[in-house]
Amino acid sequence: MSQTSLKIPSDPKVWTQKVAHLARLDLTPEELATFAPQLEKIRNYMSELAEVSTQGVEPLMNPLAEQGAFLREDVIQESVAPVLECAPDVNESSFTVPPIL
Amino acid sequence: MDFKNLSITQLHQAYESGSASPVEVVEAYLQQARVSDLGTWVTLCEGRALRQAQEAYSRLEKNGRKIPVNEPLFGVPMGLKDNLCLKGVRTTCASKILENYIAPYTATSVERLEQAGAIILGKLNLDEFAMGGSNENSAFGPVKNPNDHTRVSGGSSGGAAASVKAGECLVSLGSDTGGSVRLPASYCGVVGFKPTYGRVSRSGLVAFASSLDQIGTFGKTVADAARVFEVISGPDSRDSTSAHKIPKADCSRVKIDFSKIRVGVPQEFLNQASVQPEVEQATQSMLEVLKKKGATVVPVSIPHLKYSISVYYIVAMSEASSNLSRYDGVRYGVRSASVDSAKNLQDFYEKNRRLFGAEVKRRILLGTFALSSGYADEYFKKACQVRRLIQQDFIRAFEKVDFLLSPVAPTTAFKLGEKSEDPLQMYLNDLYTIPANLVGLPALSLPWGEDTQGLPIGVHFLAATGKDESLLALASELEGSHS
Repeated sequence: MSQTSLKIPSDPKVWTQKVAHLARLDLTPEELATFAPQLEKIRNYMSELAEVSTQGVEPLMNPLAEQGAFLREDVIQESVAPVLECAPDVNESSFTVPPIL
Repeated sequence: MDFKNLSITQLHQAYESGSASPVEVVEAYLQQARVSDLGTWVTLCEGRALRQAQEAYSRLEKNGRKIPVNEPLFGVPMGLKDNLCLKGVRTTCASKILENYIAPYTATSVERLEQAGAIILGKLNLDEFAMGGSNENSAFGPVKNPNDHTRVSGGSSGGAAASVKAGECLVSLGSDTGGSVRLPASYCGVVGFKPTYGRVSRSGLVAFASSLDQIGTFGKTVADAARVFEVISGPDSRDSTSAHKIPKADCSRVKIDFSKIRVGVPQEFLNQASVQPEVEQATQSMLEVLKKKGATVVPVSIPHLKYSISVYYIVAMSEASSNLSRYDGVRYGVRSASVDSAKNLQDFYEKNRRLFGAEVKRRILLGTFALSSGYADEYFKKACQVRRLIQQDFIRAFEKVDFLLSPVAPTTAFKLGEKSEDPLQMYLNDLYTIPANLVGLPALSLPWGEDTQGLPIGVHFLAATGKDESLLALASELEGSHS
């Protein structure tokens, strides 16, 4: 078992709640009770990757990574879509949100 | 005239002979869609489709009742999985959080379809944000299997597969991230094709997992699925992950000589305890047909294959957690919390994001965990490294064979509700289809007989990167050879 996996709290509800906060998901007590054991079971299954030797192996992030990103010329074009059109609530040319601070 | 069982070629012949007109064909398909009890459609674009049909009729008449040469999909009634944007039409991704979202632009692939003369009938049901393998995760109800209404259609492109089988559209577009075109194709009994990663633009496809997603095509025949692929394929400046070194597809270039073909079943896929006997028999019978036609069957191994599911789910969930962070009620979608009712921005985000369904929330949670500080190396980075090893295994395998073969899924379509309780069980169902997405390979599900209850079985083919035309040519030669 690696160092980092020892840091996972033994109660799945605790780490599920912490991750929910990071993901800006507000789980009900029922959701927490249902999800926590499911997520723990899935996480345990995925821990099988620890047995694979990957010394010196470059991570593969995208099947076409070698070709490089397909970039167009840096020239101003018409906006693809009217950005504010889908917004639930706007104030002139801005989206409204509650206070951040 | 029964329009339901026509191929695209036969439809065009009917248009040219005058035995059918675009308006009556579109109306017939729309009527099938209206009365459908399969749960296939989220939105029907009736007025829009009939206008397109009228315009098609005018073009046909002006052209001396000949199909315009630049419109290979002239007058073809099509459906789009509801994670593909069509300007002015609702795009929900089968989620409450996008229930009111009207797309302000059209996906590149859909623009290409319409330029080629296709007529869009509407938007098709899916698992929410394409997350699922049974189409039971939609906020708008499940999609039922046309062959047996008590069973699932498969997912996540359940509506796209079922609608083609049921004659509610002639061909359709779906998306495939871990098998979401091929699996429902197999369960419903239609052809489902996933191109090489990057050969079809993802611009306008709502992102689930950006290094895995690819738009795929459904048809009753390989020729129809292939024609749609040709139309939508090709580089796109709006998609920076577009394969700009691989040209637009041309399926006429490739002819199959079976005496030169080498095929193999990865040995790691053999002797799986969970495989239904008739599914195993279907794979074996396909191998026999290939041998009879002159192909050579070669033993082949993908040593890291067994880790595919873990790699896939870590990568897919991580990418999904990032892609779905944009759904916060600020710029689009449903804003269920008003600016005044939220305590602060955190609270605002949390209230709005309550609208996600359970499977979406699970995947966002796991993805966030796999990317979080202290765990990202052990989970996400590790998964990407093993992904590289799997890719290398496939590169080596394709030095020995031209095509790989396997079942599409361990079983035929299961009953609605049968697998809902255990998410991990559902994930394990994807073992055959996932590797193609990890490595970006073209793959196809070809209908190949039925089980003893009459449920369709699909056989799965994989080819090397960029060999889409060869794969489609092979499938076309094998189609209909099942005895």
